Amino acid sequence: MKRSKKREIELTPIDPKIPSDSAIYLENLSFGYEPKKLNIKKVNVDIKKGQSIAFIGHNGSGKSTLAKLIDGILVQNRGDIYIFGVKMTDDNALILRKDIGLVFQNPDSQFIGATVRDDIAFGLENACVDPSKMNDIILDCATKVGMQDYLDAEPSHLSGGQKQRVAIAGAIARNPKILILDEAGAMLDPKGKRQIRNIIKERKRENPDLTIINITHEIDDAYDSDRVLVMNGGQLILDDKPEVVFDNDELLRQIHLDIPFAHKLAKDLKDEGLDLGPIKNDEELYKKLCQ
Amino acid sequence: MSIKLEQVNYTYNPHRPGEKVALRDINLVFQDHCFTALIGRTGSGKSTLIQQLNGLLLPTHGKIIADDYVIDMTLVYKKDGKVDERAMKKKHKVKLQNIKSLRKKVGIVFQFPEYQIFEESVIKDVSYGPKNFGKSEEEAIKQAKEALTLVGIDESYYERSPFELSGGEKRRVAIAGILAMEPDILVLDEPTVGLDAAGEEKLMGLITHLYEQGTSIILATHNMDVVLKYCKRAIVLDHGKIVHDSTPLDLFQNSEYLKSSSLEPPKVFRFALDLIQGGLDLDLSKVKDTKTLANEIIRVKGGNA
Ligand SMILES: Nc1ncnc2c1ncn2[C@@H]1O[C@H](COP(=O)(O)OP(=O)(O)O)[C@@H](O)[C@H]1O
Ligand SMILES: Nc1ncnc2c1ncn2[C@@H]1O[C@H](COP(=O)(O)OP(=O)(O)O)[C@@H](O)[C@H]1O
Ligand SMILES: [Mg+2]
Ligand SMILES: [Mg+2]
Repeated sequence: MKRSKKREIELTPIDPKIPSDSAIYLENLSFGYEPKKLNIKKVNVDIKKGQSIAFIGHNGSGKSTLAKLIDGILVQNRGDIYIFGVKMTDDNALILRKDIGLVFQNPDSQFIGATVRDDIAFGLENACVDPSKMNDIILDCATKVGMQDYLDAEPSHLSGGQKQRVAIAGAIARNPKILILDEAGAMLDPKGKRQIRNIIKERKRENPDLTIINITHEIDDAYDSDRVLVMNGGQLILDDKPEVVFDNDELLRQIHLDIPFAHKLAKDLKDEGLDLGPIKNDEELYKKLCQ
Repeated sequence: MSIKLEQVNYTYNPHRPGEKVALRDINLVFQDHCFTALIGRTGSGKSTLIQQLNGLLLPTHGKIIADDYVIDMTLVYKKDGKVDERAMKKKHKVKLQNIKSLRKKVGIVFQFPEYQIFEESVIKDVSYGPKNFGKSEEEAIKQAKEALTLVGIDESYYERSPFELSGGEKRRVAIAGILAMEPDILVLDEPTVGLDAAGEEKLMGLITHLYEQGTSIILATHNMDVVLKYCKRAIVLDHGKIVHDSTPLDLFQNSEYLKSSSLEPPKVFRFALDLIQGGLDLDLSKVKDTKTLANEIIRVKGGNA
């Protein structure tokens, strides 16, 4: 299903039942790519303004699908999506999207411009940025992701990791209120991953109201968040602080996810005959082993 | 089968806008039955190097020797000592003879192979390769079935559309498509990107199994856990050059080199180093993952059970 491209109309008013601090409010959201099967099943969640959310779940659990629903690229079968309290409809989806920057999982799928510069500019034009400021913004964002030397390169000539950087530059250039990163660091080397992490922290410092959804397999990223949402088979099965989610080894293992390093090593030690009792983190494990 | 690269250079879009030197004077031998990691930051030339190995990209100049198959793009000089550009152009125009025989021996699984799936059913997609390499329909299907079994995709999937599968399943189907051609050397470009923990372990288990059966493995990766646990050799590229070539152990122990590069040993290795600093007399060469680290710790400390 595609959204109809109606001319832009006035935003519908904010729904009074949605809490005023809500950025993304999903109510009974269900979606299936095909008629009989649901890939997203009755998801309810209220993501607050300024929160950093990590989205984890096995491959195929529905993370990317949910991101595309929030961005209005896919249309739900049932339930509602509210962006800053405004209910998303066919008519206003394109307007609501202006507040959302989404970096896709596969960087190939999102380039439009003939050069890196054009590509970042395209997103800016859509966001109605003052043309005289455009070049500065483009250079600034490209520099932040370390791609300033590639502004005139064709996106198709870049390596996978470089494409991912450009996609991130494009998303932050528009200064969105909601930033969704779909495994955006996956193809980067460790240093590149750290850079991206820092770029996002920097954004957050500049704009504490920025709401971030980080879809990731990296526990370190998820640990940095305010809240971790765990998807499994299209359902939201857990929504809690990182310390709580990552303490649940049994569940994480069951749903095919990685468990924190210290927990893994402590369990392997126990299996081999050295029981150290409950271990919270690396430092604690180190102390117990080297005391 | 071994592959030797001699003075291999590669430039994208030579003498045109967007010109980019991607490989510089690469001299390298991939021995028969290797398990080698190519590492280096994004843009360092890993994918470009990989594509030289079966002639998908031809060296701008240099030579590639894959057993008896030779791609000879060595520089030709004029009498005055300058490069004979016309002779080089001519070399590049000569159509490679029998390149299929090389492509059959060196199978490449690209980044995000799931996006290269195109047939309408799983079995058709996987049998496409062997058919393309001259196998009969029947034989191609037989090889496809064997490859699918190997990657853990059972019969119930054969007639399904590959597009309906999950990301991890699609990737396994795409890998089966390469395995069905029974390559001697399996080359994988960042194979574990985007897989969840269970998917990664399954895929690396499969690759190790193929290695044990005699297939040579070359993989480009940023995943240092994979390098430490599975690979026998680690080659580091930077700006198109080989800047380091050793066992993973020697690489991760070379703190001087690591400091100057963007590389970092995997967590399990760093933690083992901390423990050694803290007084535990661990044998680092035994540490491959948390399980082997646990064994080492117990060897020096004893258990309590
Ligand atoms: N374009 C599509 N057509 C049909 N099914 C799809 C499509 N994209 C994804 N799916 C299916 O929807 C489910 C959820 O996929 P996805 O949201 O990509 O998961 P995740 O991002 O968590 O790995 C999977 O079972 C996947 O196979
Ligand atoms: N098709 C292409 N055209 C022009 N330049 C390219 C092309 N593909 C890659 N490059 C450039 O070549 C260099 C090496 O890229 P690549 O081999 O993909 O690196 P890696 O796989 O290590 O990330 C990069 O600087 C990249 O921008
Ligand atoms: Mg996804
Ligand atoms: Mg690459």
